[in-house]
Amino acid sequence: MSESRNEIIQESTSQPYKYGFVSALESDTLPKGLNEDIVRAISAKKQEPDFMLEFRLKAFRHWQTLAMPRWAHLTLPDIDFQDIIYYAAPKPRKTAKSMDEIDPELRRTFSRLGIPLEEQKRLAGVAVDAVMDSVSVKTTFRAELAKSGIIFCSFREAVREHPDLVRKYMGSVVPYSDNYFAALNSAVFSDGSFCYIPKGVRCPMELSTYFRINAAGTGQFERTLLVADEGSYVSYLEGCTAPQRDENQLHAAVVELVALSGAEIKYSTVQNWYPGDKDGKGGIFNFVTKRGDCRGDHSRISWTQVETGSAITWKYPSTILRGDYASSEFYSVALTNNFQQADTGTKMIHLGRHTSSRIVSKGISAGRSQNSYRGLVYVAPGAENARNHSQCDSLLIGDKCGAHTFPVMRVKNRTAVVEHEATTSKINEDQLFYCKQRGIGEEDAIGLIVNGYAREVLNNLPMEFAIEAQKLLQISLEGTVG
Amino acid sequence: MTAAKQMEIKIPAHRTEKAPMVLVLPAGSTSCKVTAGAGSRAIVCIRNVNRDFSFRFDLKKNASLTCILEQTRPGSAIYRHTCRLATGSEMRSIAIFTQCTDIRNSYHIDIQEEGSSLSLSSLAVLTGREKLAQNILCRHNAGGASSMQTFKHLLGGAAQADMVGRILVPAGSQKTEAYQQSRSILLSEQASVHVEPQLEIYADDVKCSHGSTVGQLDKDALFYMQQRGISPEEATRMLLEAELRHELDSLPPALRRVLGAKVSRKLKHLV
Amino acid sequence: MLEINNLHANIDGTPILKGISLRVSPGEVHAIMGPNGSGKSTLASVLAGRSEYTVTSGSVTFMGRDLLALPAEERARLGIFLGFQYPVEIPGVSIANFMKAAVAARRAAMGLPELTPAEFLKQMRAAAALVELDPKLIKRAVNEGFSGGEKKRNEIFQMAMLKPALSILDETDSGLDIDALRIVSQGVNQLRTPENASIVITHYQRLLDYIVPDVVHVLYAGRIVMSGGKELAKDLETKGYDWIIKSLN
Repeated sequence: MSESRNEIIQESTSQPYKYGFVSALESDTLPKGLNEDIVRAISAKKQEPDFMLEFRLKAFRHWQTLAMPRWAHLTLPDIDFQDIIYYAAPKPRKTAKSMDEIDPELRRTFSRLGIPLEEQKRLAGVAVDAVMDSVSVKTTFRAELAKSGIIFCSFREAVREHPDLVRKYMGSVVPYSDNYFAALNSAVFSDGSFCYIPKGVRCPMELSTYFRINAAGTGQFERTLLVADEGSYVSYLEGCTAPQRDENQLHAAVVELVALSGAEIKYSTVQNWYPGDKDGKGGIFNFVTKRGDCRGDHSRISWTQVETGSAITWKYPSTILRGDYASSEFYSVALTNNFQQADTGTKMIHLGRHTSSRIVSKGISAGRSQNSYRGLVYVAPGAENARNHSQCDSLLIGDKCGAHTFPVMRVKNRTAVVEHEATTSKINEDQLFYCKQRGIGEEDAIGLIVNGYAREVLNNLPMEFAIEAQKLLQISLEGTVG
Repeated sequence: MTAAKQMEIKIPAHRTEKAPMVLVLPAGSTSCKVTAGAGSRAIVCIRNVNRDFSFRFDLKKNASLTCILEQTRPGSAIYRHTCRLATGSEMRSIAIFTQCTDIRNSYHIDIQEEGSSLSLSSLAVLTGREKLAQNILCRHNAGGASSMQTFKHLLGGAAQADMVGRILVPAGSQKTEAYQQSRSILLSEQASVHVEPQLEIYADDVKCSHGSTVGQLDKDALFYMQQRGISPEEATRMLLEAELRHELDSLPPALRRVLGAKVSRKLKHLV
Repeated sequence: MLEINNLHANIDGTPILKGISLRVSPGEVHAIMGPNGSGKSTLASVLAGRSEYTVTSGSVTFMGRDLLALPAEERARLGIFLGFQYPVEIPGVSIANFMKAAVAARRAAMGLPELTPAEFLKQMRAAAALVELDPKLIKRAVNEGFSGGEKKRNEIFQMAMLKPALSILDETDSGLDIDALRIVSQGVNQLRTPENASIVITHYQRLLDYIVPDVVHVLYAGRIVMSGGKELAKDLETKGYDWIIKSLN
């Protein structure tokens, strides 16, 4: 589990990718398009073992039999899958010498979000002192994790160093046959994270902190696999509040979580991908499949998400409550503005006995956006004593946007108790006036009220991100007034 | 030929029909249109149609119409109701299902003008292999109107109930109030329910909500009754009836007795 | 400080204020009494800048500025504070954060530097003590789950934090028991300075035993029909509003 020093320096100082690649193609990028050769080439470039190639090929062949789904409450563009490059070496980032060279708009956003200066540099692509920053901090964290036997590395590395673990768990929660984008991802996934927490170990730090410093570039087809062995605990945060742009417009990630007996996984996401401009042009499409398997008894998975970015967000972090006494929670704030669209929600599948789930979804629509909650609570015939409570609220700001709720409850066991409530409303004029009479301007007042509205969800984020997320909500509401 | 298939009933303007009118559907007919004239008040009963049928209700200004749909004899059919509401009109629809082989019941309501209101309730007490699927689309095409939907399912045996209910509020329909409630109680291992309440809202100055519970009877209430000497089965039946009390009480007195009795009889099969 | 000249205002086309004229100088406490429907709350709302009301004629000058030309938050930053009759709940927004935002806005408008966190906390504690508000309540969401008395005390707490030039207290005593009334009144009295002023709107005389006014005005059918010293309040108490109405006709 050791990365060569060379690799670390490469990532930190953005040298071009130097791993050898023997083929007729000399460059580090594959041509556009997707066919079996490309899939093989991707696997070869990563020097993957056979089982990985097999997995990719099966997925690719299955993908070819599928058509892109169109059932969501979204206006989807036609995506030409042959017009995408499926493998590119991490692009050397244009390094600026100091923050002064960075777009002042971006700098302003960083400071409003309260992001520390060192991080700002990293996010903006300012050359950092490799020795001072990434390496030493990263090395310290890895040492601490290694002490507990925790494995946390890139997916690529995990395939090489821990192939048995990967083979055992990958695709067991989201099989490639699950849906169109999962199949695509399974065929061409680039990289991602792998994490394994051994029995009884409580991960000593929020993997969020580690992740922020370690995140190497934004993956287009990222794959994350997180396994918490019996009795372990881990809190993981993906994404960040800083606005992130990427040349790749389509992001189709897959996240698989496995919680064995008595284990607990807390998975938080803060997503602020480029949402497109005020006229709805550009913007990233974020189509993600995230699923957790509460495989063991008394296991627990908790999802928290703050979605403010992307032109189109399409995702349903879900949990399969397989073990007895398993429980899961889903907390979500999804804010859409201008021309953004979101169709997001969750699925709670109750299979085991005495399982419970809780859903709190707060949608905020502004501008001309469309925001939909879609959820499924399914109680199987054998799921004795299942409990679910869902609260899905939508807040409309302005009269040119839409807020929609499409929950589904399918109950096949008579001892279940499933409760669902949803309300749609606009900002209370009395609350707005109360704030104004205390001297708070309208935009700030809306920001305060919206944050209050989302409080229950924000309280579930790791602390430093809760504060940033609050500011992010406020910034994302800009332009809704007037 | 087509003329024979469609029945038409016109309730004259400003007429108040005190007694509920039972619709007798001629053999071979497949649809019925009821026009409630301006300012009229009437109650219409539809009993055990048991074949595919379409009902159209057109309520004129300030009309008030109550439609009671009774499904108390086994049957398989698809019922379609469409409804159009003008200013100040009020539509009340109560559907009671105590015997369904396989019934699909759908409502398509267009609230066209403000000041109108819709109240839709549906009670289902099913057992055996009975199946009921309901589909509702309520469109608030004008603002300033209100709608309230209530669905109650009491299911035993291997009965199955589905409900997909959508409230659609287009842009501009401000000051809309739209509510939907569903409550389902499963009394046996094999009964199942599928509920999809949906909200599609494009206007902001509105009050819209839906709530859905699938659950059980209050255990404390059950015990309290047993402690006073009432058998568990009797207590359960009484609590189940209490679930439906509100809707049954809203029926006109004559129908209340008859339908109430049918519901009680069916409940005995559940518990 | 405040000069209201022949103010007419209506809501949804219905006229409520039908020619109100009033002058309030620094250091003064004016009481406005009147039967229900006389326009007391409307006057408060119009002065605070509630958009549902339309001013059809007349003028209001505050600190030399045309008050009616300003939006609500700017009037607040100039120094107008409305103690609401029915303070609204704002879930998820803590009193601390709410006050932070309001105090910052007021100080910026007054050209004062921002308070340090330590200073802010000190002021919050002092303000809470003034109205015997449990400091733990400060972490709660604004008015959420507060009793009537707690809500009214919260209003005066905010007044202590914002130090307004003119406070308009709209039926601050409604729904209060004797203890709460005493605490709220004490708070208001302690915040009095020779530079600020208050308009106390009330239906009942008893509040004025605690907050002693300099001038009492009687509002009836949208007009001030009588003004006098504090004895006028006592007269109203014994003779009732009917006496006023009769003496007008």
